[in-house]
Amino acid sequence: MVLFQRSALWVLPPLLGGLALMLFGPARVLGLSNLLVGGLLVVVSGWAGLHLRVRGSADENAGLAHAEAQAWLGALFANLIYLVFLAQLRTLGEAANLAQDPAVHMAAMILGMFAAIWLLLTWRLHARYADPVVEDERDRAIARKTAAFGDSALMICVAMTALVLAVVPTSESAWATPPRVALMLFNLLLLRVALRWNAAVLLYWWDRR
Amino acid sequence: MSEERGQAPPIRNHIRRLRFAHGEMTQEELARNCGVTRQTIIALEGHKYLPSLELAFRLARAFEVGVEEVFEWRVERETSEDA
Repeated sequence: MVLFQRSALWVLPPLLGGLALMLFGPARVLGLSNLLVGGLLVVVSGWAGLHLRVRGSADENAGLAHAEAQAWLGALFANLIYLVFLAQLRTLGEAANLAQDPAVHMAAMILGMFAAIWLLLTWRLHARYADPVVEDERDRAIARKTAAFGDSALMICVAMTALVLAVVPTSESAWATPPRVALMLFNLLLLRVALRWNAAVLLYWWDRR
Repeated sequence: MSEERGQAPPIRNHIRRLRFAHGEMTQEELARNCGVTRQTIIALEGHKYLPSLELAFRLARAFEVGVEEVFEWRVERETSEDA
């Protein structure tokens, strides 16, 4: 696993520091949002750890396959984006108008920026692998399993949400305004993406150990 | 996917031996010839993965031998020896 390789252990302090900054840090760091600064710290240290692990592919039994590296990258960014979203959930939920609230704009900008960095690094990782074999039958089997797991999780979550909204009396569901229901659905979507990539990493870890 | 952990697979392979018999072919070369990743060759050599029939044929073709020279079904051999 990336984080447990001795050569990659030095990335743990900045990674954990970035997470702590996002979760428990002051709202502004160096004049910027703590989510942005902490998130960038997590991205840089995570990318460095992944780079170290990929570079180990010269060893006989080390290195990451292309699809496995993409899974680690996916898990890093999907978790990060979901964490940023959860950290902003209260702000987003209290916004009177999602389209015009500056706090919502800021949250959307941070989420969009991490999504863009994810795309950029995905492309960079793809370019780094000169190997013509991007994935094989084992990678495809893992992708099928994780997609099925993600779809099942999404289906269960949507069904439960629909059930709660349908069962709760109208007098007790004043909180379920259209913007909040929209946020809830977006939350489920991000959760599905995060679960899918975490499942992929777990399956790769199980497969390679 | 790999078989259940802790159970010795009935099918063994001779990929490592064949690789060395073919001019010390590297895992990377074999992987490229078969259209798989090097990690799959590592898993096969470690007897941690039973390949699809297609990959079995690709491996045999890479070594220019029959499938049964690459793979060996030990259960069948023991049964036939008993008979």
